[in-house]
Amino acid sequence: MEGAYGVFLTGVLLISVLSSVLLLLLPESRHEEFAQLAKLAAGMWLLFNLISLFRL
Amino acid sequence: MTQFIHSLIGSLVASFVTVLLIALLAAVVNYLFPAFREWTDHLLFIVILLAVLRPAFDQVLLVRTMMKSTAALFVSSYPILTAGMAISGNALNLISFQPALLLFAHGAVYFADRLLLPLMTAAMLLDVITRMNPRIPYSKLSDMLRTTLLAFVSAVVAAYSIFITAGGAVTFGLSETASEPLKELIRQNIPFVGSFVTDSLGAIGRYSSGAGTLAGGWMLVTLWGIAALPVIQTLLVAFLYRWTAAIIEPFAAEAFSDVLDDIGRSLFVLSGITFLLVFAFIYTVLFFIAFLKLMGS
Repeated sequence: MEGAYGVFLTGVLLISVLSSVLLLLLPESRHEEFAQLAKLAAGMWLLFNLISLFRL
Repeated sequence: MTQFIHSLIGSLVASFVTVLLIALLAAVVNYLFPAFREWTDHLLFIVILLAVLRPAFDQVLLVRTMMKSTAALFVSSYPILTAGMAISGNALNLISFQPALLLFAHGAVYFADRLLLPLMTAAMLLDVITRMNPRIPYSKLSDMLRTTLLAFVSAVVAAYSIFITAGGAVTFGLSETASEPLKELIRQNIPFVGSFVTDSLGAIGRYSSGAGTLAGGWMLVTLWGIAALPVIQTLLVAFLYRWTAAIIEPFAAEAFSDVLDDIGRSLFVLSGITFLLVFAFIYTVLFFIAFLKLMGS
């Protein structure tokens, strides 16, 4: 239980930190496009973990 | 009093003063180089996190260590205590200490260590992540976690007071009229945990008046003083966060004061969790005192 929980939080943290750094590097015009992609990644990670929680 | 507060949080003040100075410096840099505003804000965020996340996590680790050692104490002492109670017999009849409460106390500490502390840490982390990248917000999730934790802690505190009063032999010691205004004052002025601080004080009053005849009033005061110290320390650290948030709000970006404010709120929840530990500890020590007194007489 504790291992899965740590993996989930680490994933959330990585997605947020990486996307915020990439947003800094990208030009202003691409921001909106990239933010949608990051949201998609966060959503997939959340749902994946939610499903694997109930599969245990 | 000042010395007492200084001994509790004196070492932390330096890092908060650093945050204040860096926030001011960032405002100056923002004025001089407005084109790099985004970068300055991100760097400032990282510096603030490096400087002030540590005290919060130190506090969490401190509570965790205390929980582990308290749980070890319970596991080692409860079989002996229960066996002694079963042999002597009269102790249970005299003041209606329920052995079931021992199980409950241990269960609460175990639960707090395994479930409540990790959830609290997760809430704190999610707050920080939300402020760092507001495009992917987790604020509802962290709010939900905090609310669930508070609900659980208040339910356990309520269960404690039911357990204690169900014995019947323990009467309400504090006079209602004298304590009610004080309770109201605490409830309104300490955010989040105020209401169950007063509820638990009521339960303590009920319990201590029965045990006081055995253990002595000053003994109880000393015991409570020692046991409540971690709660007071956590509350002071939480207030330090919220004060820093209030001070940097005018000149720093909104995200910084918000993140400090959120960490402060999570620490209020932590002080609530610490209350569970204090309850279990006090109950066990009083159990010991009562037991030894009865065996001696």
